[in-house]
Amino acid sequence: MKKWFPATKSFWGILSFIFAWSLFLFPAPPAESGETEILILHTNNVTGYILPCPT
Amino acid sequence: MLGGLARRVAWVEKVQRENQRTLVVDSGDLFFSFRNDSDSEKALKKAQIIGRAYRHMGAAAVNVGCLDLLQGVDFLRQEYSQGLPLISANLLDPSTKSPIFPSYVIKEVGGVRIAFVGLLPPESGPEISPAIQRANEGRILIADPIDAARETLGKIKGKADLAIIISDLGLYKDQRVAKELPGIHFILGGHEGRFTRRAVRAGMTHIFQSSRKGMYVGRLQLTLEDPSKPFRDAGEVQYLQERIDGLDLYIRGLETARKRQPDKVNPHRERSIREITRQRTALQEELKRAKEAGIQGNHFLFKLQTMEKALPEDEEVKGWISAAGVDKD
Repeated sequence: MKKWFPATKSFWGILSFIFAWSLFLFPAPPAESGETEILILHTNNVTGYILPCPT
Repeated sequence: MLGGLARRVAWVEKVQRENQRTLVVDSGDLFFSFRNDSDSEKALKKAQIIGRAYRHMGAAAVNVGCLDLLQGVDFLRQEYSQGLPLISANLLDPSTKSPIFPSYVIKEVGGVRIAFVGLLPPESGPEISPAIQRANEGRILIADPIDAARETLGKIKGKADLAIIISDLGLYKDQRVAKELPGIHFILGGHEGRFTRRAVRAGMTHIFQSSRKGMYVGRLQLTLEDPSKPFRDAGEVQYLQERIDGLDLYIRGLETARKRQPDKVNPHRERSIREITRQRTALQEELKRAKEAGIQGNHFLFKLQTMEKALPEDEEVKGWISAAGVDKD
């Protein structure tokens, strides 16, 4: 095949390059376009507890 | 048995891996309590592990709470010098009258600039106990939180899209701050360690607390379209429906009891049925309004994540605890 189509190897190389780039170029979109989602994790009154605490 | 530092770290880091737009904050009273005041060496060992764990999680901001001063402000200075992002707008150096730690931090996430401002209770209040005063004599000055917040909010104007107070003032003082200083989007509070089922609203500010002793982690999910517009509570419909379901169950129980005694009128029970039915009608009206309003535009969802036993623990943090010899108490 390579003998008849010398460009075969570079063809697959280019294809995998485009595929790899597409992962960076088209990341998963947010829930709605124009929206930004941010998560804030919050604690208070931990008061020195490092072990699980009986409820 | 709920909570535990190793479990909290493992859970937080899992969430951070899944969602890179995650910030970790603490409202204060993180390190100490009056309970462990008697064995200060052990209390310091635990506090150092906690500081290390919050650095490990890449905390964005940690507010100084009044109990954090129990072992003296020098402990906090040391933690700050090691990279813990302590903040407080009203904890001042008495010699310079300027804040000991930064008044605020601004974090940019997904193109949104979020300012966190730290506040602790005033020096004149009952929260600053004689033990706290003794441990910090001549080394701290606590300014009025509302004046300090007003000044700090003035400084961040134009530099941030969202203003969040992380507060150790307690709910009633937080409500006062929100009413006096419009423009605060959220107050992530503490001091009492309340279990928040629904955000408390004061003006346009929404206030939460995330329980106590590390048994839960508050999870505030923000969806922003335009940061200059107010936020709606996306959990309101679910919260109202759950309350209506709870009242329905209560009414059914009372009606079953009534059917069992058809000849006997119980005035107390009849009054309860009338009162609960009235509450139910009011909640249904509220639910209808919430459904009609929908959740377009900026909205938030607040939930408390239980740090339950089934969740995995971080082995590295378990190792620190074990090496410090504080794994038994």
